[in-house]
Amino acid sequence: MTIFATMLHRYIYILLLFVFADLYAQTNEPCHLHIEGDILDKDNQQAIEYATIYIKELNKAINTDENGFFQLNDICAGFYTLYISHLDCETDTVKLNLYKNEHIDLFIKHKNHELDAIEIKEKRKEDKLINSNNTITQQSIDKNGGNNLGALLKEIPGVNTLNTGVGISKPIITGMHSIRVVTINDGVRQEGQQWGTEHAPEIDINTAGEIQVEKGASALIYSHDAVGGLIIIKPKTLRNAPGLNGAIATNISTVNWRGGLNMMLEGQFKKTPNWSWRIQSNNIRAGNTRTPNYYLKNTGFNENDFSFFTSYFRNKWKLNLSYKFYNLRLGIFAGSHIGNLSDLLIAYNASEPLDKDGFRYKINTPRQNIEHHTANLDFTFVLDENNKMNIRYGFQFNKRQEFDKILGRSTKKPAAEFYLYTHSADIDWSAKNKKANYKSILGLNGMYQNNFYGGTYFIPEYNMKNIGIYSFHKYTKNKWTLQGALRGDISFLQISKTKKSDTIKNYTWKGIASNIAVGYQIDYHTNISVSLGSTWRAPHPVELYSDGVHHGTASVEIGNVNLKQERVYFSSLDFSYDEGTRHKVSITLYNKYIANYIYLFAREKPVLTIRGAFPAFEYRQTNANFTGADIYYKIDLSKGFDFSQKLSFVYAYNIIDKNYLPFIPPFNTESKLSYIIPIHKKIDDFKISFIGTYVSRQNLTNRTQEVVANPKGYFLLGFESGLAIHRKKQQEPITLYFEIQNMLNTRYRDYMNRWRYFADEAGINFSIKLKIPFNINQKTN
Amino acid sequence: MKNKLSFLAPIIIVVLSLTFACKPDPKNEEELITTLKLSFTNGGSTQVFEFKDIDGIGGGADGITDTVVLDSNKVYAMTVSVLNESETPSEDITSEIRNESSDHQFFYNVSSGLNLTHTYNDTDANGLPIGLSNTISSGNISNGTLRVNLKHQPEIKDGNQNTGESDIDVTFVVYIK
Repeated sequence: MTIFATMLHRYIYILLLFVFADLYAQTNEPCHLHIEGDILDKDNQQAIEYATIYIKELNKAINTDENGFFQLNDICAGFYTLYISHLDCETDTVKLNLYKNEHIDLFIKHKNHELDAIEIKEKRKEDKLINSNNTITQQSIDKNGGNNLGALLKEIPGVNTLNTGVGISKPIITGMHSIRVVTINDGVRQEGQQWGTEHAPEIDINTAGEIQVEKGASALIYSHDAVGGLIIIKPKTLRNAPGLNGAIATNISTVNWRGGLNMMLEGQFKKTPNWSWRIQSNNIRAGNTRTPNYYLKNTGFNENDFSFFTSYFRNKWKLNLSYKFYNLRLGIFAGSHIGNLSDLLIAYNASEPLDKDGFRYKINTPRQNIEHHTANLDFTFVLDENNKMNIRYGFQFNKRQEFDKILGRSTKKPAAEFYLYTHSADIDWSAKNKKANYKSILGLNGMYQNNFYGGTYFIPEYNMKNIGIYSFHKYTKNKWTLQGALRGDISFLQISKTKKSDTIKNYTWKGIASNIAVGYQIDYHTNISVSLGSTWRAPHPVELYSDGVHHGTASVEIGNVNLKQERVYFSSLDFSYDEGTRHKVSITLYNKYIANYIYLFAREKPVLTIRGAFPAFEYRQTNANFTGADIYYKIDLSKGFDFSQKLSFVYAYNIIDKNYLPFIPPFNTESKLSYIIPIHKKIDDFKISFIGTYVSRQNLTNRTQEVVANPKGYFLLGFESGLAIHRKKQQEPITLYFEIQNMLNTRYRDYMNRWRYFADEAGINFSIKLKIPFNINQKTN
Repeated sequence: MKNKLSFLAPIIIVVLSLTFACKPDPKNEEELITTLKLSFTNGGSTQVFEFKDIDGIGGGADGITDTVVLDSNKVYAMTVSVLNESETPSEDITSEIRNESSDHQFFYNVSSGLNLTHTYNDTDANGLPIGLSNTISSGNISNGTLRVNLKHQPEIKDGNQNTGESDIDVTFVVYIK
């Protein structure tokens, strides 16, 4: 039966490929269509004259007349990207499927201060460089409403996730995760208990306007220790014209009957035109997750987030203040909560979890309660046309409580709790020359962090001080771009309390990081770049001093006080081709050599405790090499069809032991066939897609380091559709998405899920997401 | 100008109070189970065998297991006690198991070749065995192992050893002389 299913999957896969090839062959389109339209101010609906409409695919630009009107004739049917720009306005992008004559009304936002003008100009330039296919836009964020950051980032080729059941997922970039992936949220480096493989970043994705993944060493502006990669989350820009608007978004998923409600209100009052603000709330409730054959007991979660952003600006400066609160209450799957190794093997060998349940929302012990507060104060000052300065202070408080039913302790008291306080201060100065082809940033980062624990020991109490100084330069001439960065850091770590003693131990880490990248624009569509760099990472207190049982993996993890700094040598090659009408290709090849790579090594002898035998893992160092490729290809077939393929592969090798490293994502690929259905002028983007995902078995594995055999490869079929409805005088459309995940209700287990020992992955899931933006018009006097 | 910025004042106060107000006072006390004691009583004389691991679970020293030596062809009353001896005075966790007896069960697994039989002498509110009080009958001279496995089975206790979580799992070497 399973063999048949696998064959069927493969067959469908091959069949789909043929269908695309055939579709591609038939292309005969009339070339006498025209586009016309009006460009209007988003805030007051006034016509904008002399706005420029640039059509990327035709490499053609036209201006609007004094009535804000434009017209273009004799265009072939197809897909077009329109960039609308105006001196005083934000640039807007519109994607268009042209199959009949079109009239479109486009609204662009007026901006009324110099600072934004500079930022946007810079952004336009930035777009054309090095590493193109690594950004998640507002549209994808809306589409993923209710999901977590990890699930959202999977859209970027080369980003995988490390999961713990369905509720927790952490991004994996270039085969690395947790401490080696740094997240910058709204300019502040996210500091939680990232070391834990089941500790996901505490971020409400709905506050984001754009998310970028930096895989290269060009991340040195932010930090030196993002060895795997850097995630940059930028919040949505606040209103810059008087008015009040908001959005209500809701989402429902059937696999765990997840319901989510996200509300946002933002405004700028007429009386205080320099002050903008936004408040946002996000509430999610989910129950037990259903796999094809059973429910996973105690896997519900509750997420409640709140955020407040405000900005005050004058012509020369801008002050941003934000506060974000994140709270997650999470049940831990009863079947994963096992005692010792023999419990684990019993659970692994059982075809279904022995501890079963139906559907319910109630969360019982074992459970976790996570709180994260972030406050951010950010001051930007324009010195002159070419220079600006930024000063930032961030405060974070992370509280994590793990409740557990253990003998000798009541369930009301957490079995383990962690409190982490982080203060950060940054200052930077950006400068460019008059021609804007040379840009540099000089900056300083400072951080002070304090960690406390309660209950069972797992990580020590410590305080840590970091200071970093960096300088970044970018020079563009003709078709060449040269980019370089240099960074020096020093870090003082003071361990104040470990399991065995209260004596203070001091560590000082220091190092230099640098990188250089050269980009060459072969023609308008084609870019190639090479990047080389070296950076380092200090051992984390958890790697030095952890000592205890890691629940869910039934293993004892033991720190190593003698660890040295990791040194990373990085090289990458990026190629991108974006012709617009037909093909889009992006390829990233990389290699990372890490000297003194810190990893968990499985000891031969288990630790013998009163709770039975536990496999023991200790932190060790080796020299490791990560080689990988991330590839994306998209083709616009005719008649509204397009097809895309992405694949990623990492080869991670332990050079000293001459074997593979554990927990590396296996080869995976995803095909997507989309079709845009023309229904009505006001409804665009009515798009349906079929998605096929194939993940192979991880065969590059060191059997002696794995507790059980790796799960088989699998194929999943998915469906998604979405549409946007435009309304009169409302700038933002109503969006509606409908998705089906795991359409064939396939039973599978994933190597990158820590519950693969105990349970299957989620079964078929239907989800609906609806977002209704609204405007509250203020009466004009 | 100053007026316009006054809206920031309450926010700054909130931030500052968050920063300095809520330093935690978490207690680092660790609730450990360090010791499992089996007391075998026959005709007024009691022998005690124990497993002890003072530093609890972790990378420290392994626990120490006594070898159980029993006389052949005898009937013993065997009681179990569970202690936390990392604290002074030591804490008795046995009563807690008794209080939550409908969520807990001791399972006794005798290796083949060891002439030893085990019967439960106590039951919980649902009539299922607990295993704090037992009868052990020794047979002829032989040796083997006795595994003592305390399972925590909230709401799912039904006599099946395979469900739930192992709170205790210790294997003693046994000689019947």
